[in-house]
Amino acid sequence: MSPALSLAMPSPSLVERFGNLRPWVGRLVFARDLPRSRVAIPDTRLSLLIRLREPDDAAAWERFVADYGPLVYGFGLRRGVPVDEADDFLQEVMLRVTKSIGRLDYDPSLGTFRSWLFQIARHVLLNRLRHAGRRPVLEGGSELMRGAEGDLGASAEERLREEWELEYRRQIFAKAAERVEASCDPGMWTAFWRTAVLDEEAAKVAADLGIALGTLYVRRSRVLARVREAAEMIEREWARETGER
Amino acid sequence: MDCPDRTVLQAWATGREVPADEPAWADHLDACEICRAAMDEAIAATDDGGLVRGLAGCRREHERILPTLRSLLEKDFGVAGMPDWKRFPFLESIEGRIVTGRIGRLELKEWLGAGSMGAVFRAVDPALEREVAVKVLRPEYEGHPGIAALFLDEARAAAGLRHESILPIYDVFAPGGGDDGVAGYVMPLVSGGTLADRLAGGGAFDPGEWVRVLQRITEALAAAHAAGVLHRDVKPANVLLEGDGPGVWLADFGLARAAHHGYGSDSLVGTPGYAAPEIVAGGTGSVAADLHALGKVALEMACGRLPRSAEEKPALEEKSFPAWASRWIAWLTDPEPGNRPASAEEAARALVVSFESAAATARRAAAGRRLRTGLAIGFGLILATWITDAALGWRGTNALLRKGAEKVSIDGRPGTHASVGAALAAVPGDLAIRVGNGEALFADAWPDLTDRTIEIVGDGAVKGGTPVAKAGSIRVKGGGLKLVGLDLRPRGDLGSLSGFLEIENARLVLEDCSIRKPLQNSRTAVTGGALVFLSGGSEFVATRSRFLTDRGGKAILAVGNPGTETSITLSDTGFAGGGFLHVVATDPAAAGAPGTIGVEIADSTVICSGAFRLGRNGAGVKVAVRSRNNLWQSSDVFLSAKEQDGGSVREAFVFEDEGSLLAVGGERAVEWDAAPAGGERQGEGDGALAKRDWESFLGRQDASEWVDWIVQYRPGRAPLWNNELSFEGRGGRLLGSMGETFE
Repeated sequence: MSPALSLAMPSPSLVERFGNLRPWVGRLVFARDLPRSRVAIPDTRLSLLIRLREPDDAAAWERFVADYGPLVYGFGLRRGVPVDEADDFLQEVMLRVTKSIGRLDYDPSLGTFRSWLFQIARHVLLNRLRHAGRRPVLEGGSELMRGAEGDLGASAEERLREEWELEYRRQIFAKAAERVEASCDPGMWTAFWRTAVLDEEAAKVAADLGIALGTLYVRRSRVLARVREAAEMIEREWARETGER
Repeated sequence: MDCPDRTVLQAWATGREVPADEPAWADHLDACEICRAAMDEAIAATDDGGLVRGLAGCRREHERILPTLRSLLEKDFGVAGMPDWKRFPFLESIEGRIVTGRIGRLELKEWLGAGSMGAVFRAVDPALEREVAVKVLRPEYEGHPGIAALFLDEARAAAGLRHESILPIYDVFAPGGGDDGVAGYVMPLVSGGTLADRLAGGGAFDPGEWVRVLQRITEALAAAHAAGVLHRDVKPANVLLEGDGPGVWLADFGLARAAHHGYGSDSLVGTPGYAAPEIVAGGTGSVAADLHALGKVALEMACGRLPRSAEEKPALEEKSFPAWASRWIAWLTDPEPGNRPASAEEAARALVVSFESAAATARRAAAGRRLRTGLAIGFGLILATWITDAALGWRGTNALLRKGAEKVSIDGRPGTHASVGAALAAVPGDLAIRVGNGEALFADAWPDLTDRTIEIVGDGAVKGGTPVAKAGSIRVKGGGLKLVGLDLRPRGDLGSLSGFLEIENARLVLEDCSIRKPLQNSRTAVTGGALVFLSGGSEFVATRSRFLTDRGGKAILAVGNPGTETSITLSDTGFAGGGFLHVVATDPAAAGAPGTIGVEIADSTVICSGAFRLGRNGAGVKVAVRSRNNLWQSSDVFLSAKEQDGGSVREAFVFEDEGSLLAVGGERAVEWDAAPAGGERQGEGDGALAKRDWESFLGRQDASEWVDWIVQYRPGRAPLWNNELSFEGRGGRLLGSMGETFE
């Protein structure tokens, strides 16, 4: 037999294969780690979630990253991940999603997609904070004690989840603002942005824009109404895409 | 004008309701400081969670993370950027890859990709109610009518080709033809990727698949040449592979000629790396040049990539590619066009003949030696793989196989044997057997197989079903047995120390098989036997297979005879039933090093009442398990280990995992039968899965770091082998499924 052929079917001894169990990651190639060559033909009828199970559905991943990336990032940042590590945190969560999404069935009737995502983000967050000897920051600046096993107490757990939900609303609202700004008269938008968001003096903004104070207030209210409306629409869109009712 | 009601102002300020006579109130606001203050206050007071004020911060964050998101998409998720779509006049909108627009009656839905000549879109043809792919000449060529004409000429020529491996062209549209002035053509939508994607993702091809795909491409090329059409740009990106099937198509005929025209005479027809030397030197396309490019594709498929420089030697030898394959590649890529095959047809014929004669020679040679060593077994199995894979590829052309598929065919020739058992008994030595559907093929008992390398491939394509093999125990001693695409149903009872497939000092390979032990009606029925019984240092590999046992059965029973090594490798495989792996030693008093048992399991699902059991007579045996991305669900104890003489069972059992989901329903995750010296009995539970069990078991501080989820499984009334099982996890309920029901 030619030596070339023998190489194709290596039969190293078990001592070789198992003698050094750690670290063994990377020495083996598993089928799931290989990128699949199948390119899904995205179907808009399918929910984003189903499409994400297909790792090559580029459009679905773009949507997912654009919509949920800022949510994960903001959550980490506001819950105690330092700014210079927040990028890393975001990447870790997103890569975990790619690893997990195809493996487990997710049933929208039993919990929302974002609560599933929350579990992943929470897990990564607590792990990182634990390694750094820090504790998650909860609203109001208080730090809650964790149990010896690294579990948060039940009330802290609940609060962390509330924080996540709030971040979700924030991100939807920000997305809505972007959408309104794109289709809005710049004068209208500036009136809103400078007074409501940047909290500038109304009289100064009105003067800059050359409009009456009353008009400024009317504009601000109108834009805000549109943003709220858009936020509701986006929330419905996202819910539909992730198969929620 | 009086001030409006407070509630009106609040609703208005926060954008919840606009008053009916808004313009009138604007004037009032202008004058009334009190109302303005009230509105300011309303915004601040109702800005729940700082949504409005937080917008500025959110925007800064979004800008900050854009590069991260981009790199996630490009590096980790493999999503490339979009082309300059705005130059396509027929596109109305675009979001990500989703587009709207229309060419003629086609409704564009999605941007799929772009090549040097055109961009490809997914579209719907409403008249025919089908999805198609549309290739449109790149907008850069808009001002060059000559290019569009060439592009269309070639597309029309290709549209006349008919071959199962040439991507057909449904329609061609030309500028000024009433189709919005675009040049392009319509093709079927193939649910798969290109050969280039496959090479980038999966690396080199194994020899069997290499021959199969190349034969299809070469035959497609031969058909095109016979019709007078040159491809001019054969390369992996122009070969499409069906995602879920065997389809191989050559696409994009002749486009390089148009590209050539567009770029000027001094540039290439074809693609650097694949283009023949005479083309690089300024020549035009030819049959010989197409063959050269094909040879380069063959080389890339064998090595996983093209050599980076002329000096770099192709690593064919390391890839176990035989000498004839190297010679075939060298023939096609000869620098001198005259030395290459005269036609693609000749190249295809040489490919087939070389392959078949090499396989036959190797079989004879292998039969001459006895396959006692692992290397020899490996060799035999390479051969078997070759024979199978190649035979699959031959389906379209080999009439013999079609005819013989209903019966037992040996080495590709239809046999006269009534059953597999009869064939095994009648024909000595190593065999590659293909079987069609029909239980009768397995009617006879199998002879014991000793020192033979046998491969049995069920042809699931015949009569649309997987061959069902109802058989008594199959015994293999030395040599190897490979089963592909068979549905095996053990017949009769199995004793507690026996198995359906009894493998002794041999290699067992299962692909796409299922083994089902029929369910006993009685809840208390315990039959005990194993589906796979390994002894004497055997090797067991299973891929894409399913194992089902009854309550008392187990999937694998391994005997760690002293001095032996047993290896179990499972991937993409499922198991449901009683026990997963039981380990025993036949003679713990025997001299020699204790036996070792190594298990690698990945991407699999195990649903059982107890995953691992180290029997009391398993003393001395060492078991190492590497687990990755599995679903482990055990309704009772996950690991049960009995006291061992002179050693801790904890040392005897090593378990490593990454990314699995673990669910245990019993009171204890791990049950060591005897307390180790100075330690307490593990796994005393309060009815709930204690995380510390895992942490103690794994010797880690944090078990949740080790697996993605550890959840408690609460067995309901549903039997174990029910189709779906649910788990109570901290993140809500997660579902795991075997995707298979027990009959």
